[in-house]
Amino acid sequence: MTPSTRRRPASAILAAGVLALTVAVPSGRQAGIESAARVLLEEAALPGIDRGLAPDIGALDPVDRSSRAALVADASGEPRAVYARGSVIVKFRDDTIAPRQAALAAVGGERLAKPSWADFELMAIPGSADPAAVAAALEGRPDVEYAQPRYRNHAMFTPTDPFYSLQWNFPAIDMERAWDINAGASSNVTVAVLDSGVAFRDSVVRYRGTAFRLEAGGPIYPALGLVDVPFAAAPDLGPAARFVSPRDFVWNDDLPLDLDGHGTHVAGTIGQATNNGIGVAGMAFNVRIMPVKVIDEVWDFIFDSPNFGSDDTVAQGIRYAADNGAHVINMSIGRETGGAAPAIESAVRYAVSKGVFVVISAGNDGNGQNRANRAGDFTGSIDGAVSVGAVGRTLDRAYYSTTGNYVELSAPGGDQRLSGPREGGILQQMVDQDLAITFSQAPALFRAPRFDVFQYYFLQGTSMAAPHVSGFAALLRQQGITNPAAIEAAMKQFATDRGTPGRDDAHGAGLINPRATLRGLGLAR
Amino acid sequence: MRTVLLALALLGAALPAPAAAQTSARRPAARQAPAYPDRLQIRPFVSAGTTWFTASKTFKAVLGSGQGQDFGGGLNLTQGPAWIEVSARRFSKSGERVFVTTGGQVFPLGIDTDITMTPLEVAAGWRFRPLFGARVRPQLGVGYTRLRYEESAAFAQDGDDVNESFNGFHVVGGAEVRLHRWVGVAGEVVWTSVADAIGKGGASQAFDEDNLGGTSLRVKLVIGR
Repeated sequence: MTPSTRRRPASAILAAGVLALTVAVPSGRQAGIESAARVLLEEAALPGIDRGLAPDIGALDPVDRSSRAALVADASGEPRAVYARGSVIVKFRDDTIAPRQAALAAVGGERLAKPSWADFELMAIPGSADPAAVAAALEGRPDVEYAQPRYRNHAMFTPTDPFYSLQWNFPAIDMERAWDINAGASSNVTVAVLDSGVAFRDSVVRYRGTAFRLEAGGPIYPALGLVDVPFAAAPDLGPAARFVSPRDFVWNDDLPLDLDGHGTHVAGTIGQATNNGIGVAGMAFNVRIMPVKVIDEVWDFIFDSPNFGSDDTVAQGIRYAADNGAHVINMSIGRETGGAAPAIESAVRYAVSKGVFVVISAGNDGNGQNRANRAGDFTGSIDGAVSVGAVGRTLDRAYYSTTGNYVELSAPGGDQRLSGPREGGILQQMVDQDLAITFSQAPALFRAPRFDVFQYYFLQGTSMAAPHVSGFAALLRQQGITNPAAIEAAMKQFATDRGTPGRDDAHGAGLINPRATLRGLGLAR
Repeated sequence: MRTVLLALALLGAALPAPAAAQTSARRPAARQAPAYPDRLQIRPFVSAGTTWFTASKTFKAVLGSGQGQDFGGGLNLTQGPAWIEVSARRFSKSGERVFVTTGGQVFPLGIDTDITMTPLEVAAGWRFRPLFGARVRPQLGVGYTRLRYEESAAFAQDGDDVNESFNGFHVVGGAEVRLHRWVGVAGEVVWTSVADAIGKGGASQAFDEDNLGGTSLRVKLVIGR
């Protein structure tokens, strides 16, 4: 559902003023180093409200994510910009000052800043400069290991029609028998969810809502001013004690709150509380969850978050998770546009070297141009990191699942086109979209969101497939396979071949087979 | 290792024999007793042994060791220097299921698994001229092996466990030391091959090992002449 483009003559003057405010927003974001503009008012709030299955999820994803990404990143009016202007990522080969000064002078750079949890620096450049050209110029310098634009990443699930169904996805991979062997891992295993945040705690946070447009030429939504937004932990995700080391790299604090729902849905597939008499199940329902927010969504944009989901933000999140005890990292995020992502690749290699298994969704462009997820298309060269494609209920590749030689495994991600909106999706709990995604209404009905009411939604996408593999990895680690490369090898060895016999670009080594993998090998069988 | 030492000790017990042998050699040939009884002798025995499995990597991965102990018994039929033997042994050990990387790294998965092997052996051979005054009887033989292999593990479903039998052969060589007129102790080395029994799945496939045989050191307590 796209916001109305109807114009109201009476508001023309006001719109012009608000538009000026809107234009001012991006320039502040590009520096990426401002302090958070939100205030935590209350450490606690009323418990989350579970409204059960969503009656209608037609307004689930009203905004095309790529166009939204362009709006956030765009400072020059280019509607298709996929990276931030005003800065680039650069990694120098050594720590001396001279090459930095020379590089700044050579490309007209203004300054360098090293973010936390990063082995690279961000170079501020003039807003008029083309970050891709600057990065290319920097890469040509002998003292630079790599340089790249700050490509934007976004959630990977495909927009869907909203209906209900059952959790077919777990029987499809024989999870009932797998849980007989390993009942949901344990709290000794931590899975980091690098996403839009997770509904992991109760709180009330004060934000300042700016005026904005959702698309070029679209209506202007009025500024909300200061609003106190209630958050609650997702009722079916489990007790607060299971969440460890939360970190928000979009807001630069320890409140990785989910202002969208995507991350909470993903976290649910990994570790939704199970056998508790309510809601739905998750793969590894006893693990600890580390919420790490590395991508922004519309409300982060509206509330003027200081950072967004660029490659550097994602890379920071990966390194943070690796350094803070994560055993598995789930990245149901990425981007189909732009160039390579050496900052992310370097961070993934770092994480794997620390014993962390990394799971990245393959991308949802299989029904379009079939462009690879550039934030994960390198995993084939890393033993201990995998890119995951999606299958539908028939266990064949979902229509949207991107194919390519980097796809290593497949898992249920849903195929609502083939099996229907109810039967074909992956069901998990997330924030009530009617109350959260208020910008899907016309500007006159636009209101502050609340993130303390939850419903169960069916989504599809490689975003939904990846957490199956992350939960599976947690089970394997608990079972005794602690080496990331060995986890990958075990998953591939026992995968159920689908599609063309042997490895193929649609399914990789095949559909994950948790029961067979967990049971392993006897002497003869 | 204790079995090996025991075998050596038994062989050592025969060391005083040379003097007796020399004495015997000086006797006139016509008065020399036959080396082995001409009448059919039926001699029961019990055995204990240690086997170093040919599929050593596989056994070590799943059972924690590439060797194992077995116990058994049988009947030894002799007439003169010839002998035929029927025996059965049993090897049983518990381990855990594993994952094996292509590089051979083993990750135990904590799932109990029990391995039982029961070889039924029929062999025939020849006893050579006694040594050390007839107290030590060297022998050599070959035989057919029918090996029953059982593998069971926790969380098994239909078709997961294994209960199959395989054919093989073995070669045995050793010596029997007479401790008493009716009691002897034999030390034997047995090499067994049961090819193509494993290697199509499990850790044995990962290690590309297909033989359930091995080399055994065995001690037998024989009742009879």
